[in-house]
Amino acid sequence: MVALHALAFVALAGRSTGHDLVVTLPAGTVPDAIASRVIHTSEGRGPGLVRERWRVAYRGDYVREVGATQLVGPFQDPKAPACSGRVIVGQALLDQIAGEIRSVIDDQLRGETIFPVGAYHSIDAFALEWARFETHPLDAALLGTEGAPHGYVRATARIAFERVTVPIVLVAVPEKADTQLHFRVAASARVEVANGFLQWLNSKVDLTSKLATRLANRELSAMLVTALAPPPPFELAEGQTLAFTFCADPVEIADRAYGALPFAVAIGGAPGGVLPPHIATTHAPPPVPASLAIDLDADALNAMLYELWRTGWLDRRLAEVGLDRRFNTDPTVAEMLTVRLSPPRLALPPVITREGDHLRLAADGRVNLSDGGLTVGRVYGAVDLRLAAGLSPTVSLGALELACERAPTTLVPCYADLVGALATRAADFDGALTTSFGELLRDIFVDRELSAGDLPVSLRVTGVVPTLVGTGVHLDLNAKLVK
Amino acid sequence: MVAPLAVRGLRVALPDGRVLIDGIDLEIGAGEVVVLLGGSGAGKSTFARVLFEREELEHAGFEIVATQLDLDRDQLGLVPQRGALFDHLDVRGNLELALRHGGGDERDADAWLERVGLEAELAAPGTPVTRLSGGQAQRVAVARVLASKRKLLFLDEPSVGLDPQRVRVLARLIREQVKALGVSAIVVTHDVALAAGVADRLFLLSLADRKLDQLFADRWPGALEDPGHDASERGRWLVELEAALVEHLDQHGDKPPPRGPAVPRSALAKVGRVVEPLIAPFRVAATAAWLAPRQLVKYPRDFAVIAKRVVLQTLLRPLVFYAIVSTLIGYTVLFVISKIGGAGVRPDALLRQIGGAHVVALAPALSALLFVAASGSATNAWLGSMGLTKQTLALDALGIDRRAYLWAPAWLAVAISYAIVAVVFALGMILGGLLVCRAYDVPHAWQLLTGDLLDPRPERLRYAVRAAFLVWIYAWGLASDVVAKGGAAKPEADAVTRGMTASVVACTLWIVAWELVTVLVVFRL
Repeated sequence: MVALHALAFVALAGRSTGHDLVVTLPAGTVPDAIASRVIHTSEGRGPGLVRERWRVAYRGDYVREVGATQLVGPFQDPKAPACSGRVIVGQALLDQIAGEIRSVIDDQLRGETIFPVGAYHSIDAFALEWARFETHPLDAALLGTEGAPHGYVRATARIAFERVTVPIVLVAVPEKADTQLHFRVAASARVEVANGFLQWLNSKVDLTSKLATRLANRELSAMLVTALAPPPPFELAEGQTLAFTFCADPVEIADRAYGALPFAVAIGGAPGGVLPPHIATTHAPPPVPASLAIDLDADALNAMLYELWRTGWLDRRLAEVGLDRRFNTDPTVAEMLTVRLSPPRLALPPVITREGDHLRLAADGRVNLSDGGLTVGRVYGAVDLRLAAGLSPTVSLGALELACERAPTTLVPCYADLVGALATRAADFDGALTTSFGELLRDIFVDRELSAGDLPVSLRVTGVVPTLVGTGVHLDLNAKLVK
Repeated sequence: MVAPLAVRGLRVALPDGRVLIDGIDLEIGAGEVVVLLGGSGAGKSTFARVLFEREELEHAGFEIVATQLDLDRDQLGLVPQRGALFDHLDVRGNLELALRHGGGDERDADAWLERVGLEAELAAPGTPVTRLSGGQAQRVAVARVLASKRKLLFLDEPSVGLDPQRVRVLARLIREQVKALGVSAIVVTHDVALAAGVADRLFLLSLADRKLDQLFADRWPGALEDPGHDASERGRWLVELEAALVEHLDQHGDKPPPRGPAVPRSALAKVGRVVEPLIAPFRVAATAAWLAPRQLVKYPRDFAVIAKRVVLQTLLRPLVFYAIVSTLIGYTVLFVISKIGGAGVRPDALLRQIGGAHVVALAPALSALLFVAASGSATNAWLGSMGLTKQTLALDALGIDRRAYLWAPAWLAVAISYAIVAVVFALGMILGGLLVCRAYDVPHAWQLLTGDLLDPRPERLRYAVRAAFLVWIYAWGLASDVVAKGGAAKPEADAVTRGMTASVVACTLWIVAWELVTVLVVFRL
């Protein structure tokens, strides 16, 4: 009787393993025995990281959950990168530029004597403005047959000579080649002298052309290109760069408000054909910036994250942060736990999406869990970040989940209690990404000084105020020209 | 007519070889009353035990040999010393039990009381047998055995404790009933007045040769309480009978029984004697499990009476005790756990990790140990005292299978009581845990503490199964041991306490062993 009971218990205990949650991918099937109590949810519909979760709740608020992350398209096309960012130059910056250009012209004309108007005295009322043809129909002759359907820069000045003051009007129409921005410049000068002879003579010597060529249009063009061009490539490491390119959309100019140049983030191909998601975005007219601003929509942010992931920059950054080292050497962990972590690596490019009043950065990684045996863990983390002045994000945990691979396509819950206990430390994982990404944005867009051709001035950006616009961010930069 | 009892050449020796009875030849006719006289140690009780408990005697190592022992066991009724009325029943219940199992009408209980000269009011429901005087108890015992329709009555020292007047009343009662019912009787007594009053024949169990000698064989006038015997005749015979008895005791009273060769016991028997206490609980389990359903169906009232008594002993009386102890233990365990993390560790985090695991792990074992000591001992003592006071023997003598009547419901009641105690204990531990959780503001504490019991996570399911298995195996294991040891022969009062101690030891070992085995199985799988 005793032996029978002992044998029965061995058999009973052997069968009493319960039905743990086991999810077989890609169909997401679960064991029939617990199918009725499994709650299957899907977070997000794409494009982007779509998180599917299978959850079983037990009495006492204990939950077993397995999640799988899938990167869902449509995806961005590396061969035809979408216009996902734009540089917006405000009228204020144009006014600064006007001041510098006036000085250049003044230097160039000083001491000059132009027949028949005499010696150069001064240049007054020099102004640059973003202009639309609709409000300046008299510029039609200057704009020529090509016109300026998206607007242009209009420069006006009064140049005082010994015998006459010449009002000058100059138009600079932005034009894009494949990889370059330049300005098509045309000018007109109206010389009004009382002396009829001089008037005749002026018509003969083409004073207008002479003045136009002396009005530093090369410098003006260089300065405008410096301000309006896409950000320069950013050196990552080992020759890898994060590059920004022109894209198909035209420059947008709003009369006396701003000029905006759309640009794209250059992306390369990754093993397995992984690409960043393409999130359809309608670009509304940007807010009028104080001086200079950059818009980055979700595609731009995700393309940047993708490039950082593709080039291994993010994994290296994670390794530098040393999450595994910090976990494994944590006194509590070292003393009380048997599980140890390997450095995490990101299996998919992190994806940023707009979630209400904040951005959510989600990342799916892999980590080796050593606990007697070796198990591959799938870590999913999401943090909600709110960008503050200076691009220092405040981070709060959106999700931290871990599932273990029993086989590459079979996921089981693991270390649920441990993950729950570590949830408060999730910022170690995503926070490192977020901080790095914030620093990167600052390095690329903010802390920079751009020279403008041969001009003795450069464009210095020193501060930023980020706001959420559309699917992405709008960076209002504190830019000024410095000598 | 076939004699109710025919014995030839009966020899009974103790395990050490001492011969208590060395040749009894006795044949009793229908309607005859035979009196067996003898001094202390002459073998009177041994002779009774041969008739009623031969198997137990042989099992105890007695050697019992007879060339002839014709006895219809189903016709043999017993009136033990002092009546041995069933004290878990009232007066009426004693009679109804006999009537029920003897094929009589239970409504005749009053009539049977009147038949033995007792007031019918004593048959009122709820009249405890402890209210009866010694004489009344003896008469109820006689009525009980007569009601069971036994044809051969064995009255063991029926006049113990009775005054002379009541002795004579008892003698007349016996004579009347023997005549009225046509039954036979063997009366074992020291009492000369009773012997003379009832005996058709008188026998002396001789201390000289350990044989049965008939007294006054050729001139005994018959039962002196029968009509036709005057006082002088009765007085003369009483004197003569007493003189013969005293003379015999004077001559042989100090003579020890002759010592023969020790009763040889085979190695198998010796092993069996050692193993028997280990096997007995399992035999009880198998027997009780087999008989309990039958008894429940056939005699639901008897089943309920015993089960109710046992539930009272094992569950209801100590229930508050269990509740208090388990609450204190539950509180203490979780309180200690909450402090064990030391400085800097959140107690509520520790409590959440533990959940209800401590209840699942500890409740079966702790409740079982407590149950053995408190409840098991109570039932063990009750069963033992029934044996000690010959109530179990009286059951046998009424043709009632003590295994079915007593053991089966007691076994089931103990088992179920333990299962309930285990649940109560678990609830108590949970209650204690709730108090700790409340101190630390642990949310959803009830769900947290009951989760491992009611909806365990897959990795903890095995622990819950283990707990359920332990409750199961403790329930029937403890019940079997308690009934086996409580129901074992109790020749003296010390045997009752020995049985209780042995049961606590055995059950504790049973619990510890299963705890260890199941832990090893659970954690190695």
